[in-house]
Amino acid sequence: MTENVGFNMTPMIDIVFQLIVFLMLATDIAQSDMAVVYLPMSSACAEDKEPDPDRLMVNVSHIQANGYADECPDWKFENGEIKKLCLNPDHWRLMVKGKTYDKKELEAVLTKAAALDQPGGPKTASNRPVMIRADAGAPFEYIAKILEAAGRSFIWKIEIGATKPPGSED
Amino acid sequence: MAKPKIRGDTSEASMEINMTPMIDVIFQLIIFFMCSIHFKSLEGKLYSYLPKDKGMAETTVTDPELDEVRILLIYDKNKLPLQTMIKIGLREIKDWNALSDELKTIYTQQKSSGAKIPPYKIDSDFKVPVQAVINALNTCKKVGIATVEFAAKSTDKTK
Repeated sequence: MTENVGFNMTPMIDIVFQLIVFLMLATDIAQSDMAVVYLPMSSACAEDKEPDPDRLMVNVSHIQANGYADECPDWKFENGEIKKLCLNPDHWRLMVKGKTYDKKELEAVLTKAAALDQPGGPKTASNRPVMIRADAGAPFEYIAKILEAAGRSFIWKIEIGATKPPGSED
Repeated sequence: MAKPKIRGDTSEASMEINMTPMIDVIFQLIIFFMCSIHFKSLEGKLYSYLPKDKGMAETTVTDPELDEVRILLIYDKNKLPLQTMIKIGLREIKDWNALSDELKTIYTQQKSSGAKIPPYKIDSDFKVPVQAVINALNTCKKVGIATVEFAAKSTDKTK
């Protein structure tokens, strides 16, 4: 006489759904704001606590044809340190929410964003923060471009993304 | 004739749930969280607010401040790994530690003289990597210099 013991799938399905929801949220964040960059090391950087929800992120990232960093022989990192620098202007991208812009377009995007929090009306200082997430190996030119675009669109709250070197406590 | 059912029959099959797949999934979850949380907590930021009172629109500097401390970062192919030569004014600085010492000396001198602290400016070549600029900024912050400015040139001619 065999008794049919049905396997209870409910808890597993619960967990799998949780996972799916979490991954959906996580990938959404990854695509909208964060491009893949190796942030520069800085022991004096402040922790990014309670970031402004309206903050705009401008990424300066290196192209990666297949999602891997090894495509370009000049862009090389080892243990978080730069080994080689890529100066090819075709390899660097200014990205906001996963979209690539040139300087003119970025200025338009920033001006639009600035207008949402401009208490003094157009052409006055905007309180909208902008974070620059630039790759440690990116040429400074791209930061200068973003600063220039921010200045022209009356944004002054600029933050530069950095990461603490492992083991530093001050 | 059917046997009468006995209540509380001990021969009832025990219904134990197989925990193995659930534990598998939970371990996967734990590993995933460990990876992702490690990544997130590492990110920080450096405040680099632009001056509100100047340079909001296009301006040209007509009256350069002569007593400013200008940290020059010059692109130099042979200076590995960051390919950057550091200079304060005209003097070449060997490395980041030397820059820190140099800035400390200048800053304490200025502070003890009681005069207004002149602006510190980071003037970087466009080819210099972001890490070098951040290193310079980091050095200034560690020394205690509160206001550091980026010397700006127009990027219009670059691609």
